[in-house]
Amino acid sequence: MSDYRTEFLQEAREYVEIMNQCFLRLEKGEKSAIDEIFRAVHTIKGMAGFMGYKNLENFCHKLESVLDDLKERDVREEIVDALLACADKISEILDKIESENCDEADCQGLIEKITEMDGKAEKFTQNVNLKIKIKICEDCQMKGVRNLLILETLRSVCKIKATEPEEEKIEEGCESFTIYAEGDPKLVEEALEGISEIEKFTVNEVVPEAKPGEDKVEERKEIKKSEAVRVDVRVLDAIMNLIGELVIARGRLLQIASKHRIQELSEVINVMDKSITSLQDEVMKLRMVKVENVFNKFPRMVRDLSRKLGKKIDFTMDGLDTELDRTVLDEMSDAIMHLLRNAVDHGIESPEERLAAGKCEVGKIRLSARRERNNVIIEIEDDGRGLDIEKIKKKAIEKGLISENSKLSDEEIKMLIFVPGFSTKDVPTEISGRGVGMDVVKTTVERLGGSLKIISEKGKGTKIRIVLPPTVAIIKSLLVRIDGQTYAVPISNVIEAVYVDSGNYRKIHGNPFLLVRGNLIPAFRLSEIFGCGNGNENGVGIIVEREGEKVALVVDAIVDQQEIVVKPLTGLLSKVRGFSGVTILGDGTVAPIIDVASLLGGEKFG
Amino acid sequence: MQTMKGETVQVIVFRLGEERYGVDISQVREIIRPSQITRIPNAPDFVEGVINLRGQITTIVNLRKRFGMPPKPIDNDTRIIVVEHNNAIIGMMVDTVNEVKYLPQRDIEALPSIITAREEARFLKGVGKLPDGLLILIDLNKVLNEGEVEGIR
Repeated sequence: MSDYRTEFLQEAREYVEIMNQCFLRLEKGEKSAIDEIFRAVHTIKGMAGFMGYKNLENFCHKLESVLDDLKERDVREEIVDALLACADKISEILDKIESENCDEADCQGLIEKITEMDGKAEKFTQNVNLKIKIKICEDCQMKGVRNLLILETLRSVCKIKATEPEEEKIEEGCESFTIYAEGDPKLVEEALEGISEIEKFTVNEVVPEAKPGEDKVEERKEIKKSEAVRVDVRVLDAIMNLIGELVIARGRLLQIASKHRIQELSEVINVMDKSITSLQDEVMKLRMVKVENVFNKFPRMVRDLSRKLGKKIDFTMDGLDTELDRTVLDEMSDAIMHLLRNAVDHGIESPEERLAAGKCEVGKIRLSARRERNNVIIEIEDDGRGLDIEKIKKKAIEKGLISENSKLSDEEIKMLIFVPGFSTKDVPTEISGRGVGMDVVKTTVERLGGSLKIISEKGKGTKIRIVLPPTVAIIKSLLVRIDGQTYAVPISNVIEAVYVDSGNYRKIHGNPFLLVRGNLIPAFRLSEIFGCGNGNENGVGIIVEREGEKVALVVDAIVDQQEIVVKPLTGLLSKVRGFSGVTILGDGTVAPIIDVASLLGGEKFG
Repeated sequence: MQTMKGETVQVIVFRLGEERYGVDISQVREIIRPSQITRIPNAPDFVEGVINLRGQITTIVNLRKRFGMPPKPIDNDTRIIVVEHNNAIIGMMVDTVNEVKYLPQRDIEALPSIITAREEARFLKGVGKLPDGLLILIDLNKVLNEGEVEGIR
């Protein structure tokens, strides 16, 4: 049985996730979401029953009956709150099953709460006073149309509350069905008598106890299931590493073949080369997942948070099918969550404040992802109070992060919120404002080779833009030579390359610049930065972008352009600045990968 | 520790200048000749660089520099002792590797405090007494620990 347990837990959790999403859709008024929730709860109930978790089964059963009634009623926020609490309870029980293999949990309070709601619902079903059983003739030609006609006729004389089976089925043309309605029995009888091809019908006045059947959902089971095999990410990483090894071995073979001029070997290597390349592509694709997988948990979080803080927020998400490398996405998850929390807590004002400022009472937060050239861009945007430059500056001086007379541009001041220990909110709340986190967001993004930008206007809102490379494991890069050693520069950083000679290499007040089409670009001779002699006068200037500025890295020569497998630097070298890792080249030698952002500073704010 | 007195440890004996050093063989993976070492700029100065050891990036520590001795160019005798430490593979570059010795626990003595108090002796664990002279045992934990690295800088 325990074999099934992990599968049961995994699947049940997925359904809880579906429930969470649907509740939120329901709150926005999408009635169809109820059916999906119903199916999810029903499936969990069934699985729990099979596994012998009685408590969970009962709980789901109760929940089911509440849901059933909800179909007929307006869904209010309190109800969604209670239902979300139920979903939480289910995951709590699941956790308990995982850790202790028992489903004992105190759900009495919740059961009472939802049965109370159920009770309210029953008052409503009391309105049903008629149970109409209808059987149409077997030889009736178009049963569906006939049934439709019957329903239409009945609607003109009474209020149809429910049918068994449901209306769609009836309209498809079943021969006998039952209708629960509210109305005058006499009128109904008269109306039915006027319709031909009805074999028989009975109209009974009923006391409210009968509810439309519970198992009617069972027939529909086209739940959105992914047609995929679950693979542990670690397995993918292992495969990726092996491919890396293959690529390296291929390079060495190529060298041997050309050294000994073995034609046959070269041919075999060419074939192998193609296979390896496509294998690599396939594995890269495997590693890509839709941002949806992580983003889906955010609406619930934003909703809970906004209710807790008494704010009204309309949260939207775009570009859910944008793909990102699994590891990048996993690492970004917490960072995005943090930014969203900040947007809810600090960004959006209270409803009163918003009204006073002449804005709509409901604040807007938008989370979007999209692919742009070689990068994936994630944006978190709110229409709240925006960043207050003066306030940030004052706070930074107070905390000793900058000195009183330091002249920082507005852009630089905005970036101060990512400095460790910075927080402008006077009283830290439970949610945010302790000054931890924002700096973690920045380091996470930078570690993944991405960058971050704040666009904000006081009173209008804040937009935080995160630019990420879609994958970190294999990157396209430029191989350059500096003082006899090969280095790699990720191509996503590179804008262009120009030859450096005495004509365009200038020194202004001792600082070297490169003159490119009339623009002066600060130049850095890497051989000097790396402390390996002066190198020669000439070389190649690689223009890269760093925090929106162009800088030129002067190297001796460009060797090649190729895809490289990133291997991180660990242990003694994990704190080395200026390199994001190393790679093994075709000839088996190791080349450091230059990380432009950390190479040239980030020193600005200490 | 008393029960250990009767046991013997196997040590790999290597040389740095005139001194003989020993490292517990159970921590050693292999001994290789230096291949092409890639320098990593901005790394701590005792890190010689990295090499590709059958696909595994291996950091090479120059033990001479680590112990504050004057560096010596790589020659035919230079060896790299590859050790596994805290799940990382690290190579220690030494002047030469001589032999493997059996060293009874009772012949290992702690260093006198007058020596351990000195800065460059922090990496030493004890002294082994062999018939043909003394052998200094090094403490890999201290030689290769990051925390210690910070302390130096």
